Amino acid sequence: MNRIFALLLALGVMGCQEPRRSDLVQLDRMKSQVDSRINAAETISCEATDLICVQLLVARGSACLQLTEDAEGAAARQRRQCSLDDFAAAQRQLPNQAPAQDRRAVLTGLASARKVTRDNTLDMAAAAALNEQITSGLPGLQTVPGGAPYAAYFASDAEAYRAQRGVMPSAESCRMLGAARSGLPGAAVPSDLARRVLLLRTAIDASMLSRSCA
Amino acid sequence: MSAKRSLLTLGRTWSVAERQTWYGMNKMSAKVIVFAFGLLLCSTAGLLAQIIPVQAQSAAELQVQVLMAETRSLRDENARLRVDAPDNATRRQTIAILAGLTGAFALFSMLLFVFLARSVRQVLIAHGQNAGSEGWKTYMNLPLGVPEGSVRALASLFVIIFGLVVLVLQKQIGIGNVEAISGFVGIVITFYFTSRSGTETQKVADAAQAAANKTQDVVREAVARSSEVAASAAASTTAAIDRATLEVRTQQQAAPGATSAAPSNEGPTAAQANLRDLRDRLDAVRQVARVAASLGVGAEIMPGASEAVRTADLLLGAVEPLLSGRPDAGAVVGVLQQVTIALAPLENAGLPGSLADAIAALKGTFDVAGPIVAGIPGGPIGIVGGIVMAGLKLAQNQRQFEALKAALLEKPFDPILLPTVIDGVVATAALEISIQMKTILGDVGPGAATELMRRVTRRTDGRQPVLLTDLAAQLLTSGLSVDGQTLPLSGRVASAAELVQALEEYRSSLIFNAARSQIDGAVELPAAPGRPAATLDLRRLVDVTQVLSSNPVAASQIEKLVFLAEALGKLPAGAAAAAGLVAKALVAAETLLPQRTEKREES
Repeated sequence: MNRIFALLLALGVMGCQEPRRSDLVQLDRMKSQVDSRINAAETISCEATDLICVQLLVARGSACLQLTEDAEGAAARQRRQCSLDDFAAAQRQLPNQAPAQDRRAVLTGLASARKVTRDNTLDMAAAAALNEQITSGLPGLQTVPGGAPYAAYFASDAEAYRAQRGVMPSAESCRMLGAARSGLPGAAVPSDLARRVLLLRTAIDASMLSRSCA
Repeated sequence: MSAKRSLLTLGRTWSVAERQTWYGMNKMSAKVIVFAFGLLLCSTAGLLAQIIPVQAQSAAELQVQVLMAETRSLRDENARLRVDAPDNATRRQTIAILAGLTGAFALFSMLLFVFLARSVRQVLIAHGQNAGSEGWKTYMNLPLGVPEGSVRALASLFVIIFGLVVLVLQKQIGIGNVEAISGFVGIVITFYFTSRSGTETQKVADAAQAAANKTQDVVREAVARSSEVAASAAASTTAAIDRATLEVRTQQQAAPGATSAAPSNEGPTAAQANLRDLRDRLDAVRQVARVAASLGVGAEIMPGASEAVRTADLLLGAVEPLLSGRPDAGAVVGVLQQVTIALAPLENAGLPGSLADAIAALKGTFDVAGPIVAGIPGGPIGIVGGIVMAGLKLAQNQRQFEALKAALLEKPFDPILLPTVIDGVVATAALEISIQMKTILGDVGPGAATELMRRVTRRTDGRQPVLLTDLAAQLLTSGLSVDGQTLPLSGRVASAAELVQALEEYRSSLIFNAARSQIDGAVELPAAPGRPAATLDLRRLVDVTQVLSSNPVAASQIEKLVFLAEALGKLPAGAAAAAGLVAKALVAAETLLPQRTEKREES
């Protein structure tokens, strides 16, 4: 009797973990929504390890990330946190057999959210921890089809950050900056990444120039 | 009758084809009117045909038509019920109104054309005696024999009025695609005003061209006269020199083992070739000085630019008459000597002098600039040549030139160069080269640099960069707010002015980095005696310049060079010709360098 009850309970819990029809409707709505503010304000209750829940979280996380520069003070902080939480949750709920496209969206979104949070904190230790998290998440992104240029970009960014902020001899920071520059994706950079790569290359060059790196 | 007589009098000057007129209009115009009228009638008839049913038809045709009418009626009814379409009676009534209006407008247009054509003809006849055949030619070119723009105005008026009427009556007609009609009306309005302003501009340009041609003729005459005066003055001066030379030569020939003076051995053609070379150098000096003077930076980059133009003009006036034909050899030698003597100070004050000054100034800072400047081809000469050549290379591309200018001078000449993407690594990279701001912020997390980047790149409502004095005041009052924490700045700076200066430095660094990212490619440095041609990467040039600019003397010379490049880029001869001038000037500058370096050390 107890066994039957336990089985029913387990099935019930599993049933609750499945995405509902309302989640699917919400996903359709969010995908067709052009106003990021509306997507950022959505409430998501989907907690299953399912692609629908992942896509819902990615949609809201991306909207929050996109809007970080449109807000100031507490609102901007809340949006950075929203993107960080959503992409982290999306990574946890990502099914093993998720398509490469969704996997890439989750991992690049998470790296971007960590980078934005790192760049906007006054706490050096917290920034360094976030930088390490960016680096540790990159092997997964590197193996996803089409993820290599993104992984290379975030790796260079994290390395440049370490060279800029770390306490080290000039020669060592020059070596790290050189490595960051040569690690930048060269050919076949996706269009959404090209501008960021150019910006980072310029910043690395400027840092090398200020250190008189050869 | 008298008008007709005067018309006939004028008619004698026409060609046969020009004389063919039809009631005051040329034949082609008449044909166009008839065609246009026919077109209007056809369209009116077409519209009326929709309203009046055709009677004469066979029984079979009638049966088919009845069936079709029934189907149409059902479809119409269905459509009306679905989209609130108008019934056929209302639609036909509205179309009838429109057709009537079109006819009335066509009639009005015809009357107006006839009236205008008659008026134009009368005016021409009244003033025709003075206008001559030119007046008639102008008349023949008028569209439909009416004043220019009338046809365009009337056609536009028709489309606009009827377009608006159709828009108002859209429901009655049952038109679905209102956007297409309103778009079409908009296009016609745009076409009318664009073509009108184009015509006006053309008229102004023609008038300006005529005035310029007239001025050019006057100037050419004046120059010719002054050349004659200068040539005769030069001839009389050189005659004296010539006599003295002859006396010296006679004495030298009388002396044992004497050799002839070099100029006297040269024939007139060889002397003319030398003179031609001097003329080119003079002309180069003149062009550069002229552009420098006209840009209002003459005093900055070339002291005495206006005076140099005057002297060069005078000398050129004396040289030009001796370059053609077979002038007196003595006169050529005399002018040659005069120009040689006068050219040296002109060139010293001109482009070679400016370049030599810049080279001398950069040379002084080169040794302390560190390894960054090592390997630059030609050293300071390469930097100076590189800056001017790069400016000339990018002169045709305003955007690229502005980026180069901003990168070399680190000033926001163009607000478009302000970064639009906020990024922590970029913000930190700019902070690293902003010594003052770095000292003020101290060792804080990356958020401070990022927030500062966000604040200094912000724009006002007028899209201009935010005023740094306002920002400094704000930051001193409320501090720098980062991620829920506030970094007070009031205790970190001595005054608001110091903070403004630091903010300016930080923003310049951001602009420098942004501008640098837009610069790409390389510039060719021409070969010179003892120096091979070389290629200089533009980004490397910008980096080196930035390091050298930390010295105020070098910074001032770099600024002058950038303005000089901008001035040379505007030479009427073009960037290639200007590059040729710079190549020659660089060679001349190297010969002037010891003298300039010495002068600089003394000062």
